[in-house]
Amino acid sequence: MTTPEDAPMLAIRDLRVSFPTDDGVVHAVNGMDLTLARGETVGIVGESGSGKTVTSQALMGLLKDTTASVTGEILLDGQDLNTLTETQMRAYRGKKIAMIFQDPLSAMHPFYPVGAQIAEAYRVHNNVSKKAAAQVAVDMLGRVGIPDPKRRYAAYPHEFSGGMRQRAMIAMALVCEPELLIADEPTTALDVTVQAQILDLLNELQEETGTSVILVTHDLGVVAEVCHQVVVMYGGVCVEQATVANLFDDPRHPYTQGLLASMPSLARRSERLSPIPGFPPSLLALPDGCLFADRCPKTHLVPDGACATHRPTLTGVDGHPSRCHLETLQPTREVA
Amino acid sequence: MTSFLMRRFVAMIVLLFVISFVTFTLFQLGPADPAAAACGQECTPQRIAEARVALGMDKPFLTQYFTYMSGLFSSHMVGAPGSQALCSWPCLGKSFQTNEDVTTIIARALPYTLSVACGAVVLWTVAGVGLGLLAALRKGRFTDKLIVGGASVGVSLPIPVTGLLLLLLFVSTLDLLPFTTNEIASPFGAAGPGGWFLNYLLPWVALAVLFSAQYIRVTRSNMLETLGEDFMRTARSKGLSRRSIVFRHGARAGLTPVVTMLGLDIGSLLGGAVLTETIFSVPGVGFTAVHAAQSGDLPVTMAITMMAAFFIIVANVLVDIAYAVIDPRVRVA
Repeated sequence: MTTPEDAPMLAIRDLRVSFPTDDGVVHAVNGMDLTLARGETVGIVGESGSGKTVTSQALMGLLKDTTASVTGEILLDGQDLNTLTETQMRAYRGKKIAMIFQDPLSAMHPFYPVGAQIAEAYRVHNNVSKKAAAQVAVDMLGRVGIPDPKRRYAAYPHEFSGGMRQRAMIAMALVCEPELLIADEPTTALDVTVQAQILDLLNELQEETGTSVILVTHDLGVVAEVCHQVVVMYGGVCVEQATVANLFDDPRHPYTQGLLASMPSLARRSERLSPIPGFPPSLLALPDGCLFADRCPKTHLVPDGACATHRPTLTGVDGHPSRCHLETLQPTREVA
Repeated sequence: MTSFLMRRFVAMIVLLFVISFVTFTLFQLGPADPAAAACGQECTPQRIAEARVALGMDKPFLTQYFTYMSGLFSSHMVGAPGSQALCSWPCLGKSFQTNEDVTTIIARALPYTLSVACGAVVLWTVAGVGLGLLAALRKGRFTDKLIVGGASVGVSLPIPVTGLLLLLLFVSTLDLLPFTTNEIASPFGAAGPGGWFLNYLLPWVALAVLFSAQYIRVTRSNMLETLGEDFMRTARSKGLSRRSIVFRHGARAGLTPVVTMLGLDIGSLLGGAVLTETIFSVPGVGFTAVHAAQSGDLPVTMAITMMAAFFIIVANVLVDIAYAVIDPRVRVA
């Protein structure tokens, strides 16, 4: 597969995922777009149910062979992963895309030694002896900062501390040197000091290996610390994509503005936090118009009540698109 | 691990003594009077008294218990003074009915029970776990519904029903199989493995219908639970093949409860498959126990109860050990 040098490594276009349930069809992802350059880290932020995790599962192809319906394009180096069969996808999983999960204790098999699980991940894609794979696993445990890796190789997940387990998970994910690492809330289950260590480790390893990272989180603080790009998700769509600096300095979508306003800050310690009123839309019956219209404080700025009737597209300039009708009404930005 | 085994072993011995004492006490309190049963039809109070002496029942309760238990450790003489007979080690007393050593009776019955048990266990494990796995992997589809439906029928078919239906169909009507005979106790006898197989096929099937139905349900529900575990998603994320995901990762965790069930079921089956042996007239341990209990043959009943308890306790210990081998999280505890 030949791709131009400047083409993004990963491009998600109009990704839609829905699940049939007893109560009706749940529209979890509704036209998600995302681009990611090689070696970059993009953060996907959003509240629970905004489609972050489903998007990452669709990326891993974990929704294949399930009742979920997945449409749209997931282009990795120009190859549309969504058209691959489960068997074809297996060659990508672990090898080109790897994933780490929120709770490393439940994400590791309780009955097998940690090292063996890492070696297994290596042997799936590399035709080497068990012994050679074990050596790779020991080296990998060392690289993720686990002391005495040779001895820890034979330890079981329950014998590790939370932080060590997540390090081991990272080792397992990176052992085949994937091009893309999806980290689904990797620090949520850890305490704060350990969180920082794991984020540092991810940063280090990324610089070392050039792996692109998708960091799924609901923690804007984490995003600010490690990401280059940020994608804000709401109701299963990307409402805004920007560089970290741009997002925090110049949030364009009213939802992002609301999110930032609801964050506690040491600089504004006396102020009360201002939460976003209302609830996210029901994924069973999505509104016709903008998914955020019900909670948006700025709908009165858009003429003809378009917010309630027309769903906005992702528009914007200078690499900072936002999915809001206001974007199309602000010609001043075109100049800038 | 060693200390774990030692503790389990000591606990097992203590438990066996407790069970022996309780069982012995229960028989003392029971309505059956072995002396009356042993003295035959023309009983006089004097002959009953003599029989009591002969059976050692004139002694205090605890003395009787210790005399009985000492037989587990050495040979000793039983019977009334003057008509004593040697009961060689391990002595579990002599049958009130036939005056045979109880150990001889059990040794004669055990091969039949083993024959019934081993085939049935293999059959129901293969069928139960196999179909349970299949149902879990095909959840919600026709195969799953068929298997689950079949299991619901199987689990509600008691052995007397299945057994009689099988006999009626395959032996009486179709004449495909011989009626179970007590001449074949093991595959090493004159009838050979083939004859042994045909002889025990129906009892195996009767047991397997009931048990595999239970195993299907347990396997299916545990596998479904395991398939939803996070570590299964991890296994898939590594790019493992479906076979590897299901068997190496899924079955290893999902079948652990089945191991427990299997151990306990084998343990209790070795104590006698009472219904199956009775329906198919297999003179095994269960069959013997029923007859002994009906005729008030205390030593035989007592010995078989103890043996059944022994098998169940040993099975429990083996299950605990198996658990520690399978699940590393148990080892530290």
